Amino acid sequence: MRRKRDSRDFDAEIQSHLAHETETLLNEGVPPADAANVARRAFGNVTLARERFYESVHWVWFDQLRQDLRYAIRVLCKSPLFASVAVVSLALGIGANVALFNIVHKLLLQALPYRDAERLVYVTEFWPHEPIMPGPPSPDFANWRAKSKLADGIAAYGGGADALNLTSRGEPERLQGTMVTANLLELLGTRMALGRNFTADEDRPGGPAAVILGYRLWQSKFEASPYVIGKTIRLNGIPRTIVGVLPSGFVFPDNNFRDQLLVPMALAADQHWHDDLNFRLLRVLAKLKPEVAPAALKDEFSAILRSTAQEEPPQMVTMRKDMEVRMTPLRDWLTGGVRQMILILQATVGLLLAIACLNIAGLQAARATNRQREMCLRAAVGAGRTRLLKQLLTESVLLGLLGGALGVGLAFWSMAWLRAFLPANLHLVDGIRMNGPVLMFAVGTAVFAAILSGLAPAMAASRTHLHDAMKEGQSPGQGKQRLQAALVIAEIAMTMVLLAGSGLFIKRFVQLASADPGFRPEGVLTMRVALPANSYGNDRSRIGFYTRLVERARTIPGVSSAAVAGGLPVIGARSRGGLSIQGEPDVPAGGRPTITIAGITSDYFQTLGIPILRGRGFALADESGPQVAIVNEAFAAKFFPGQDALGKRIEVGSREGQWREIVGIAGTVKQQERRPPDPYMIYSPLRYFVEPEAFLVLKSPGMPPEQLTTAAVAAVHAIDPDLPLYDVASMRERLGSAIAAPRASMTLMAIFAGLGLILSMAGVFGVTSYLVNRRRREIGIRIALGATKGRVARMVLGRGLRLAGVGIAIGVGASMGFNRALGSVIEGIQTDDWATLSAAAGAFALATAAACVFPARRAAKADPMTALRSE
Amino acid sequence: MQGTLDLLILRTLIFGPRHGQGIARDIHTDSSEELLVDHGSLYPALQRLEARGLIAAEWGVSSNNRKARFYRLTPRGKKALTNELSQWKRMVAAIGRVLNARKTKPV
Repeated sequence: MRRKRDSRDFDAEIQSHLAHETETLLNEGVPPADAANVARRAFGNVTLARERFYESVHWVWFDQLRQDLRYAIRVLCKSPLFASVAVVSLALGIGANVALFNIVHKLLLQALPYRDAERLVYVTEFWPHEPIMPGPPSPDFANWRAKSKLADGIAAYGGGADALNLTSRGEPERLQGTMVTANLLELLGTRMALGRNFTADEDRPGGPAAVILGYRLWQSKFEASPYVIGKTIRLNGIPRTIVGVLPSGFVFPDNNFRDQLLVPMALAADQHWHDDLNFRLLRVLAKLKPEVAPAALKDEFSAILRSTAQEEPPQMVTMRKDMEVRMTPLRDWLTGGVRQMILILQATVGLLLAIACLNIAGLQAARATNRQREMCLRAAVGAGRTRLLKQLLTESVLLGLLGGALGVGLAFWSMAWLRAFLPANLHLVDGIRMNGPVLMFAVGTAVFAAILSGLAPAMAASRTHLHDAMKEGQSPGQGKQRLQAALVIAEIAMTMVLLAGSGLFIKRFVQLASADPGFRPEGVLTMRVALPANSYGNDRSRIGFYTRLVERARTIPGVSSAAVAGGLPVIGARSRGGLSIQGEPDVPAGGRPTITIAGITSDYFQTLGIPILRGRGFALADESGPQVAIVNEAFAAKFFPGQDALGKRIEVGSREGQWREIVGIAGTVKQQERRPPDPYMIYSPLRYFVEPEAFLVLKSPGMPPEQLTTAAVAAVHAIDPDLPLYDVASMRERLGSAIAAPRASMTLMAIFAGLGLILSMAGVFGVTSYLVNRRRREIGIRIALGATKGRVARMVLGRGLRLAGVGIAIGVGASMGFNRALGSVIEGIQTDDWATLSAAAGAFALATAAACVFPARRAAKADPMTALRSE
Repeated sequence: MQGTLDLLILRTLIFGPRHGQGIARDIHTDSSEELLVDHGSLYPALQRLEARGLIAAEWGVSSNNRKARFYRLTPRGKKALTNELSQWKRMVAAIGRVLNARKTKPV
């Protein structure tokens, strides 16, 4: 390694050079008095040589950076108010961006936590005319698994019986179990925390009964004991051997299923279509072979589906004629529900950061005018323009990094809070935390924000005119004023876009929240009960249980009425059936519209406060007499337009010849949003439509419904001590959670818009008060010449409002584009909502005026003498 | 011309180590006093050549008993000089041919 010379060594060399030259000159006969000077002249500029030497051995830029950094720290310490406002607003902007990017990264960018996740597709079948997608039936699944050449494995899960009652450990408990084929975990590449996956033997009918525990269940219910493997637990009364425990970070590849317990699907090997239609509807996950496109697999699966038509019973063939197969990449399946909202929010916080940057840029520009003399001084002692620019940008980057560090802290702290705004079943974001790429993003954002906020003012400030600077107290240059005005206008316009956008979300939420739900949720408690097949194998035993349950529940003190039902408002019902109408031409099974149907006991409508609009409710006589039905208003309007639905006879489901007479028309209640909307509903007396799962509904006027929980549990256990009650919630809660997503997006949008408003108000305030400060002398002269205080205040206010007016006008234009984009992706948002837009504009104008009032008053109070003397 | 000064310095050092002032003087006299090098601009060139490893430097005592920093050619410097010299000569010849071309070619 070459030793670095220091500059003293170089100085010695120059001295040596000059001495040698002087001697040589003396020898050549130059007079001693001149020799030294001639030598110096021959050498040229010694300082320049020194500087060039210095630059050749030092990292000058690093040197300068250190210098700039020291200087920047000093400058910022001298104006702590500016520094803290800048750092805090950057921290808010950067923090919001980092927090959201963390979610975007986790959901949309980072690899899903499965092996070869990008090759996994979710397979569905659907009819083009039906809103509901039935899972592929098990025979299709078996055929695909046997015949596909393009799939690298096909697994299934779901398929009914997802409710498992754990009865062997203390209080009976309801657990969410999921049936899976033995190869599902293999397909996902899951490494068990403990034990093993299911064997093929366990995954056949009559095989050894096995169960895999979810990690959290293992921790909470089994004390994380390593000895659980091989132990037996009773689920729905059946003993099952624990063979494995899922790893801690495991996320089930479907948001609608839980991984508390996995049990083998145990599909019969012979899964051909049978005449008795005994098949299950499954959820199917397939892995594409490398280099195979989803479309190719879709074509192959469709072809296989068509090729089995001759095995199917005739009514199935017509029904499945136009059935189509769809392949959804697993990521889209998992994140489809939130993707757009998250991207909108990311764009929103991007806007927020831009507002913060403009805000700081405005403040910087204002400060730059104050610092003009400093800049000129530096220029006068030899700093070039790039050097000044570099120094000013160093200040900005320092601010940016400070803000970024604070912002990362903020994001870190707000992750759990933000998580609560995402759907609870989006388990991908459970335990989300900061990681490398997100931190890189944070640093990048901070530097980008710093340069964005610092570049324009730095350019303006570094453009020094030496002789101008010597003239003290002149008003800021026209150019700089214009820059400030442009920055404030841009800031206001962007905030306007934010405000108008969030206004639309608020409006949508208010509309949803204030919409009449069609029932009275006050004082209603609901809970689920599920009857296991081994003790309640037929309808008779189930009807017996439900009847006794309603009778007991009615006697609970405080309960005014009680009902058992297969469905609930908001939640809907789990059964659907093909509809035929007597007297209308028969439609083959597949072409029939499928309608939601729920069995209910007679007090259902009364308990929930659903009005019977026409006809009557169910009576006790309906439990044994001819079959009847009550339909809702939406159904009557859809299927009997312009006619009286009462007295018409319909048939639901495939049980032929069981015509029901419509005896009543009930009000339409709010249901979960479906696309396309599906509000149609048929109610049947429970006796004629009984299911193994039902809701118990209790009405208790005048007391908080939650207080009934203990009594309700006791009522159930008095009939069957092994049955758990689960999913206990008041109707209020259910109604609230139905609009949880719009509420969450509205809240976040409103928070971001509020932050934007605060930032831009601070910007308007800062720039206006700064201007007042600069124009103190002018204002003093005006007052001295007889301008009234009101006139001066109006002048300042007027200027602020003019800026706001231009900004708002631009913002309104931009909002229309932004809102149209929102309207195209978010359901229920009106795009050309002038009311919201003008409300936002009006509120904004008021806020701007408020921000200008203080500086305006200060201007009006200015004493002409002090104002004139101060310069 | 970039590199010309470098070439001159390397050429001067072929006769043995020299200090900075000596190099400046040598270039001046060797060019029959045609080339006057600004002594100050010599040092960045020396610095550059040293950084490239073509010359090496050491403090020593000059003939008139003064401390001086002596520069000498390294083996790499010698090789570079040979290369540059032949390139230089080719270029000079080429330039010469171009400059003389008008006389022989009919216009």
